[in-house]
Amino acid sequence: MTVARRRSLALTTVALLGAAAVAACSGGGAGGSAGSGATHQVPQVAGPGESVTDTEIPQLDVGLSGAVNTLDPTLRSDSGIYVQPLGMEALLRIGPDGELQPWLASEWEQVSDTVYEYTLREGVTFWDGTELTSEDVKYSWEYLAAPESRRANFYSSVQSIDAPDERTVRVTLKQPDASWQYTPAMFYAIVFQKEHAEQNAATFGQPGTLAIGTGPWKFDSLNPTSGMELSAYEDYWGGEPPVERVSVTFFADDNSMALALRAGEIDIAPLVNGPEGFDAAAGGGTVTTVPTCGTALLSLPTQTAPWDDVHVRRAVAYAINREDVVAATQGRASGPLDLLISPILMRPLGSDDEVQAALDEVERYPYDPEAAAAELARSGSPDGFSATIPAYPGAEAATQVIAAQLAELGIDLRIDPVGDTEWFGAVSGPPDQRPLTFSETGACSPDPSWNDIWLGSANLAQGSTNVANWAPADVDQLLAAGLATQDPAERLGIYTNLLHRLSEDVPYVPLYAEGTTYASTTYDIAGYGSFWYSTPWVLNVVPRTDGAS
Amino acid sequence: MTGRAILLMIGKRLVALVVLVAILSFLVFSLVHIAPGTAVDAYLGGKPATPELVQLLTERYHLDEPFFTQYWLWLKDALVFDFGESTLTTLPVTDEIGIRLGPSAFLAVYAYVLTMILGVVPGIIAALRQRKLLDRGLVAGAVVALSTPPFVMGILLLYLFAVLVPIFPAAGRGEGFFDQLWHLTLPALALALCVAAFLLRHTRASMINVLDQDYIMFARARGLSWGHVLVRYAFRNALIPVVTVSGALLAFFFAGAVFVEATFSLGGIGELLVQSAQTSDMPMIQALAILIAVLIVLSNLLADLAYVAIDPRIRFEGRSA
Repeated sequence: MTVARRRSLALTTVALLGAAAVAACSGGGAGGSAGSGATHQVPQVAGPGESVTDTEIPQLDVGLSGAVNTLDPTLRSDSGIYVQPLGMEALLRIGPDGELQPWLASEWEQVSDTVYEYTLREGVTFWDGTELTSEDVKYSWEYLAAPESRRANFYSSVQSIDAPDERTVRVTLKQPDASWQYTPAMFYAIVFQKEHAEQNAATFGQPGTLAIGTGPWKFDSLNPTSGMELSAYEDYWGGEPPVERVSVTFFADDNSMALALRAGEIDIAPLVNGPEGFDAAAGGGTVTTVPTCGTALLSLPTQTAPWDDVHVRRAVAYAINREDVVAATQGRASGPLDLLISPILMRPLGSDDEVQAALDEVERYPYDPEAAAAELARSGSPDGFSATIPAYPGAEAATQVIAAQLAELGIDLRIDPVGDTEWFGAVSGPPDQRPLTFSETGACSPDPSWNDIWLGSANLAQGSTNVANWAPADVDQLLAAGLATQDPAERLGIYTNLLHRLSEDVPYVPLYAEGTTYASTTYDIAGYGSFWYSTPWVLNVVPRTDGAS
Repeated sequence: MTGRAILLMIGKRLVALVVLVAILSFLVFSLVHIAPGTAVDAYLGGKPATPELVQLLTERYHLDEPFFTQYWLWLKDALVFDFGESTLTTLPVTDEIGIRLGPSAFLAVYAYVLTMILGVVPGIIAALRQRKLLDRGLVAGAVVALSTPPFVMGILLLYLFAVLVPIFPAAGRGEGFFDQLWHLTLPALALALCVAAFLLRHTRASMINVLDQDYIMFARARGLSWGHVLVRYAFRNALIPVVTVSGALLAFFFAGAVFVEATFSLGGIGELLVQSAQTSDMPMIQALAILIAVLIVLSNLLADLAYVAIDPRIRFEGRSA
């Protein structure tokens, strides 16, 4: 960034200051859409391995909230999942409509109910010039699937991963699992060089060792306290990438990242946690929010009195005004949602009309105070009751809105602000002690089975997230049936039935569709959405033509 | 105080330090142990995990062992300076602290120097210009600085000197001496101003008190030059309470800079301490608690040695015996 550019930015900042002050003082903003950036269209992605722009960009300065401790994809690495895929790629990609597209694999085929074969693209090389082989994929996936891996749960249906020849990877499942088809396109199925990982088994991914991949940007250095540097790989299979260097800076919070964007020290922040606050600090017009397949929800402990009474749960569902909850999220939400399974995830199961017709049949709980009162009157606690609701840091505002709405119904919620660790321990601890709580789903996978994480007896185990402690036998059967077939029509029926059951029993009250937000005044991220970080997303960074300057 | 007495004092302090660290490590371990949520919960982050992984992690961190066994397992490694791996990041604790130590120490020393300069010098000037306009101005300024918490000061400085007039960087800590100096000026100022304001008032009061003493008047009466009286008599005596305060400051700047570290994204020791406490990262919390205890004891020892240097009449034997 040149001095002149900084000066002009500083002047712009002065000009924007007044507007920002007004916006900051107006109290949340009535519109609900975060910043003026949301008004423009996010452009489309290019073909596999190709960059959306051909404009040469000598250096892209990226800001990330939270640090990257390691590039080892099997460990907890906070913001690591956003930089790992710049250098380590997946075999497939999720297209704009949720369909699968080729990436490192040029072709793939489901050979039988349980066997999938992937043919690797010709001419893909690692950064040291050696060729990508099926052995590397086998090694990477087995590493990710190992019991001590943080990603093992995504591989739980895998029986074996084989490399019958140099270009073919064969995956055999223990039983049919329709959600597997998407796994090779996800950030938890990225591929790295076997030889390098084996030689550095003890320190793989750590700052001094890093990792070797096939991606468009090479990992040059990593410092967990400050940032990381990446440089373009000239022999990238998709052609030399136009961004020569990617310099990533880690920020402790949104606020300091927003000021750095405003000062011109970073060009883009690919993920912003609190869009409205960020936008106000960054000077306005910086953020773009798009919906994801994640559903924020209120979980009701179905086996604990007084929540074990279905009329209480239905009363709660009627008493929630989702618009107000959305407004309390400071731009994190992309809109109200009254289905646990996001319609985005149902899309691949049929034509738009078929899916819509199926979803229209599902009984909903719109905001209706009278219906809520009537349901509560039918319950075992007609006069209301008191309860405690823990709120993790960041969930306080939404929890307060929920508590205020339930207070009108006669349910008096005491909000208990707890730390992250305590909250994690509570929601995945002993099932009968899992609390009434608000939660966001966060990252989602592209299959309608994604929300299974909240349901069924398997997710009552310690470390699993059936927070509502809801596991009727017929629901377990539905969950199993949904994975056992790949026939879209059949799956549409099964997941619609599951939605019916959810409406009937109300273990969860769906609140809103979660959004994901990037911030920049000069760039856009093409194809930005639920799975933006499962591909080398800097390939999709494109200079903004209508950008503010 | 003789050289031997000083060595004895240092020896006693070091023995006390070992005892202190032993007690502290047990107390901290107990407190983290009774706090809700475990290291496994923090590592999994509320995301679904296989039962095998939960079991593996529980065994790896000995969370299924009785409390005293857990403490003993930590202690016997710590005795040979093996502080283990962070349960959150899986990197060795000593590495994690090591990469943050340099910048945190730089920031602490930088802020300390700024505090001394911005606190003591104006404090003396204010005392010498008592009830004059300059004194009033300095004291008023000190009240403002004193009532501004460092993180507010940090954001203000950031906005003024990194956004409006971009002469300093908005984030990061820099490499090499001058780059670090440039990167850490705003954070050090943010940290220093509040404490410097306190020190200014402290120095001013102490100096005024000393200037009122009879020996100053007698020194002047004996015909000694004003400069000589000021430096040899007034300043040296006024400095003792200031040194008392400053002893604890270095350790405070080192470990207590968490808000400033967050504001400027410095990735320092303070942030690490907060993060490890939030995530029940026992090996990290223990190592940091010990590090900070050692620093506090050592900086107080340095302050005591500074007393001796300033005023050789001061004795410690009686106190520590």
